[in-house]
Amino acid sequence: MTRTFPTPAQDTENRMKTKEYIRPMPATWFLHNRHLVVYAIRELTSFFVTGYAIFLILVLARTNHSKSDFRAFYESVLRSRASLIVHLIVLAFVVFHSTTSFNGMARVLVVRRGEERVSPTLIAILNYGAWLVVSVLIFVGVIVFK
Amino acid sequence: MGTEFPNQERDHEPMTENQGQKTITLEVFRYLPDQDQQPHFQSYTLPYHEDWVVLDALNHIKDHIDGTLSYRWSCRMGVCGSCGMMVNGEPKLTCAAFLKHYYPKPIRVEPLTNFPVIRDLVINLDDFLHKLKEVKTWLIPKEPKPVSEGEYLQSPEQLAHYKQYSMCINCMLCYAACPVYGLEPRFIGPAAIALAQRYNMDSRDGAQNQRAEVIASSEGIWECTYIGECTRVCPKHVDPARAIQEAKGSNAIDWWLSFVLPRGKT
Amino acid sequence: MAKSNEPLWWIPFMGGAVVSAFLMPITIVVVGILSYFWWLNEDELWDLLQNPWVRAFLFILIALSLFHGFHRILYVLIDLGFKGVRGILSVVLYGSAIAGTVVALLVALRIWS
Repeated sequence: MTRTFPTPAQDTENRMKTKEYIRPMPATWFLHNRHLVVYAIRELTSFFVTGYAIFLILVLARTNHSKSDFRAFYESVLRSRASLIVHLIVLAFVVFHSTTSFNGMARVLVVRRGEERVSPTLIAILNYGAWLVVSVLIFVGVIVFK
Repeated sequence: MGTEFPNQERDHEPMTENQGQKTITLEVFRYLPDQDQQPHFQSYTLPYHEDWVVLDALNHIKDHIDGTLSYRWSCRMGVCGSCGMMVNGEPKLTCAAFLKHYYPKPIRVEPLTNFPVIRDLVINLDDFLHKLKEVKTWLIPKEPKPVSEGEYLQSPEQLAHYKQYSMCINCMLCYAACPVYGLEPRFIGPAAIALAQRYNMDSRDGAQNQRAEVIASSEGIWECTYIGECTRVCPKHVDPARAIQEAKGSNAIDWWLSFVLPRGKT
Repeated sequence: MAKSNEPLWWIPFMGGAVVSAFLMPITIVVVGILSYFWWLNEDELWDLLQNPWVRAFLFILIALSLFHGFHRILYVLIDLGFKGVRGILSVVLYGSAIAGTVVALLVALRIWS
């Protein structure tokens, strides 16, 4: 479908006779207010999610080698202080990714009973609840069945 | 002065330069295309009234201090959508921005961001009006029927589906707030998409596919990254961000289903 | 303006959002925190990662997180002004997601190490 209506620049008959002022958008637009800063951090969390997914590929790859190779990896990487600090930082960003995702999804998921809409707060609580349940189940499963 | 402004009648404070008279300063964006290459800010100090809004202050400036100031307004009660401006960097209806929230600090008033400035606080909104037409913000029934066949019936539940999106007053605060629109002027934008959804979700309408040509294009919903500023600044609680995400969901499902189901499904 | 083909990437992006939001935090805790504090020693972690269900879980988590992450990284770069090279960026970033998914599959199936 082509645009059938002229832009102001093309519309020579109706074009402004005086010069309009166009304000440039600053490169730091995401610092303009608190909400945009939070948005910027929210989007940054995607780097950490991607990065950790790649790390998981590496961990999984290590299990295809010998057990002693894996032991070396475990000792030198996973049990290092640097790894703990990195994991904690990544965890913080990934948890922020989770909370912003739940809040975002709750705001746009509309469930109606008749004319009334189920409260978004309730949907958010259900999301968080499910997250807690799944995490606890996995945690318990790992601890119990290890 | 007389009875031009009801507020002045109620005002018990003297209107002369009295030490007791509180004042407030507005720093207003000025741009006169016939004489200015660049805009500048002009400071106006005026009497402070607790029940005044920024629009009252602008009207006072125009009527008593500087008649050259240009700006749009109409209903002064938040239903016409004419008086949108940036107040301290936030898109607001100036008829709904109370001076007392800013007093005693000065208030900076600028034209809505992301639009070309014609003069002072007046912006060029042709782009938005073009987009409203492109998106076909009118009912296109599946099968038009003549008046003799009676009304199109709609239940309260069907109305509830789209009612919130029908509250849009075309004030364009959402366009001023949207960084995506600022970065990409071809983006159809929050209000236009919300209004498209208002008709798409109306049970009497049958033009979803026609609107999808515009809405589901790369300049439509897919440009949006769910920043959410549009919903935050909307004075009528339309929630355009939700309209866009809903459209993404339904369009994405349609797209994937179109490979599975026979052509001409919708 | 024709309808965009964006939904091709958007559905895996949404799937990745849900899966990574629910499952990545606990995965980080198990792999990086439990092992550090010796609540999961190397033999236990090895056994855990050999389990086919765990490998399947990790593959799904990895694949969807990659599509989610690279899609968002693309839009972050566009927001930062790299609009002009959007085509090249799309190929590189979505290509990385596809490549990563293929590698993860080969690793999970023990075809590749």
